[in-house]
Amino acid sequence: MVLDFEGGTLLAPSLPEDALLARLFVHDTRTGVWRAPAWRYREAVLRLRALGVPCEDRARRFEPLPLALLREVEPFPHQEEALVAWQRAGGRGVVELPTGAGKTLLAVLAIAQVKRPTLVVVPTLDLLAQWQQVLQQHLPVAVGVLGGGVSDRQPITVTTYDSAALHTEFHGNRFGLLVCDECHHLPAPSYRFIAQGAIAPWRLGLTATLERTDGGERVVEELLGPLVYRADIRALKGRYLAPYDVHTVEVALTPGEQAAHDAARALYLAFVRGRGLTLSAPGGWARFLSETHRSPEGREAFAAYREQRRLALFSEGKREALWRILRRHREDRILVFADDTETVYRLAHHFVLPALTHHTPLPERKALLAAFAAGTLPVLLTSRVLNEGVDVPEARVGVVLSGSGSVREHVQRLGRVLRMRPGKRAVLYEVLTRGTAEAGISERRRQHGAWTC
Amino acid sequence: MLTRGLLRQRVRDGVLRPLFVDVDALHLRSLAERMVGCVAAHLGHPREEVEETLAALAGASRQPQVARGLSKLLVDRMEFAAASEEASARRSSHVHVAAAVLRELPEEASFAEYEARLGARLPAGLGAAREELYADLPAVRPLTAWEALSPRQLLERYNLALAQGPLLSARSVTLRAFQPELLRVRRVLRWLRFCRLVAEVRRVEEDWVLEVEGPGAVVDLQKKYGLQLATFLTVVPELQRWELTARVESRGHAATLRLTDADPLVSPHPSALGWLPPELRVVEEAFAQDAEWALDLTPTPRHVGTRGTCVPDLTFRHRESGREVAVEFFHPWHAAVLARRREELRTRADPGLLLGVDRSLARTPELRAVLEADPQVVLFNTYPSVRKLRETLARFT
Repeated sequence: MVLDFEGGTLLAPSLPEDALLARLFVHDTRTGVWRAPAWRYREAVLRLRALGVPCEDRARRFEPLPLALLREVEPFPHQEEALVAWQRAGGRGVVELPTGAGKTLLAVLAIAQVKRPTLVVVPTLDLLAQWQQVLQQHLPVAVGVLGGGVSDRQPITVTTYDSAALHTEFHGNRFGLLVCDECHHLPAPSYRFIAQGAIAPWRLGLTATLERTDGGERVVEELLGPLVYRADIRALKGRYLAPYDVHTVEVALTPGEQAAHDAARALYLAFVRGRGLTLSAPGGWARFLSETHRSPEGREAFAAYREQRRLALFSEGKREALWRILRRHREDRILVFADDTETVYRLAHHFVLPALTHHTPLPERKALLAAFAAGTLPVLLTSRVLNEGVDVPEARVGVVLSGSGSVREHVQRLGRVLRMRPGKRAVLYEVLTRGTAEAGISERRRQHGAWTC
Repeated sequence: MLTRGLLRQRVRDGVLRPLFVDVDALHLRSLAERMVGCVAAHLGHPREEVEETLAALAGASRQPQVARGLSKLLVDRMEFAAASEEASARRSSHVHVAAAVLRELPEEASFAEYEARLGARLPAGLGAAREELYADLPAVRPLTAWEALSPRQLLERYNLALAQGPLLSARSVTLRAFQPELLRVRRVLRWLRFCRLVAEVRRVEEDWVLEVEGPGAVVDLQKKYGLQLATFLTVVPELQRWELTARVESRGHAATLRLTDADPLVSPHPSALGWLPPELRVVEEAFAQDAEWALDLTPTPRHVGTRGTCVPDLTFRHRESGREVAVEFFHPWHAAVLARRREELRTRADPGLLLGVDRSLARTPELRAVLEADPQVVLFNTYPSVRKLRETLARFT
């Protein structure tokens, strides 16, 4: 019997009589072969072996790799426990660890143990560069990159979710281990295929927060394996994560800003009410956008929406509060988070400070992060690109000048400053403009245990 | 491609029809001319300037939605300068100076003091430094090149994009080609393969019907093939007489997209179709009056091996039994394809497919012996003779 791979599917011209195999494969009347989603490869091969059916495996295009670690790694107890739990689950499963608890190193240990070509999927270009660097430090083979304008596939390759979604149909049979970093992204319709279209028998999902509001964690567990290990941020705080304080700073709009803000807000809210729109309802925002582009009145309402938001995000009070924080922590490394790129560049222009956004070219990103680590640039302004996973252990102070109501985003931002360093105590500031929609947003995003410990 | 908001379409009785434009309408030709001219004139200008000028042309147009669509298609064909290393270096210098000043100032220093000291330390002054700090963001990068096209081609691409848009939500399309020519069929099948799609192909009398889908459409995969189906559409107008239907989604409702050769769709692919060898005409004439076998020159593609497709050059149908025998030719430049095909036949037998192989491909005595012993192989010199074909077909009667 022959097993082949095409575009994220497994193919077999014929199948032995077997109920399990018949459940995995369907007969493809278009081409006359049997077909299954590629992620069923492990089950199919194990079943064929159990049946004693000789199989010419043309689907698998990878072989074992000699992958001894270049340097000895002494894992933290929680990393070791996670690795053992993952092994016990047959090399499939999800590990939930707080940011800064060493998920990348856990993956390095898993790769060294499995000794198979590995694809690491990450959400951002910054993480791409960071993972490549860490893997290169520990593994004796070249680490390739797919994404950010680079196409260099190697037995060990790091890629972004966006690139992987495009390339899985071509390379879904080239890797034995699939590592999905920040794997809570995987259930997105455009990303599921990354795990569905890959034959990788070994799979590791890493996340700080697996739970999704839409129940998508079930998809992650089906495609990568069950949640095998979890460590709580409160259990690791102080030992493996830096202890931290969270401060909320409330600022006021100037009378002029307040009047302009209130007028703009009244205008756009009148439009919303007049059209019977509910922005918080599913599809509410899309309807608002669609309605505002249909008439001059709608366009005016949209401009008003943007203006009141701009006033809240870039108020004089916020700039002053940020200045005071910069002065208070002038010996520290500080990450400043804003909600959107426009605000980041306004702040950069105002303070003459470096901005790191999705517009920042990859070499400049690397240079900025290196200068931040070295302390020559002690402040970085960013929007969302540093929310996830990027390792900036030197950061001690985080300033959330604006953000969404997402608990996940807020936990991730906190995580940026929690990497353990001797004697380090991290601080997260949340700056809110009083009398604007920001109070409610803040309330929503603070619904996590990290704020109650 | 056009984004959802730019698609002009109407759904009536569950049938979705794109609202195509008349490419000969004077006002549209004039608009397209101005837009194409605008892009050509803005080479070297910042992106935001090109986009603003196109937006202004669109805003002043009698059909702003059409104009915005044309603008989108033009922007998709533009190339802008990459981020500049010099700008990055200047920026790095400015922010490093600012970082040093921040560190030097005492904790109680005001922002005004910071600005004053920073201004004094920056060679060009604070105002100039702020001005050039992020002056290389994508919006200000210049237009360096564009894939030029004529105003008429722009309107034709617009019509095609209107038809492609709904296909992004489709899972499959049904294409019927009415009495297609062999070379056009071959081109469509090559494009199908290029788009990484699979098709169930059947003959309905003289017509040719394809059910086109992605390979994973029959199994539980989240993979969407809409973009591939939309790309496949670009070759369909080459069939000359055709009809295409697809189940699509329009504003959350299911609808059927229906397109035909009466629609103003023009393929953007080069029009050369290749050629048919004169020997084929000899074979065609010889079998026109054959009592036993009828020759079909628009054959049905065959799936071979696990994932291959072949389009036989000849298909013979026995006039009494209806049995089909297909022949695929391998000329001197087809050595690799021949090896692959033989391997595919080993994986999955197809006794109805014969491999007509040019003798020059039997390069070694070993290979010649193997090919001569293979009952599915017919060896020939340059082109198989009618006599040879008849002898071979006799084995199937």
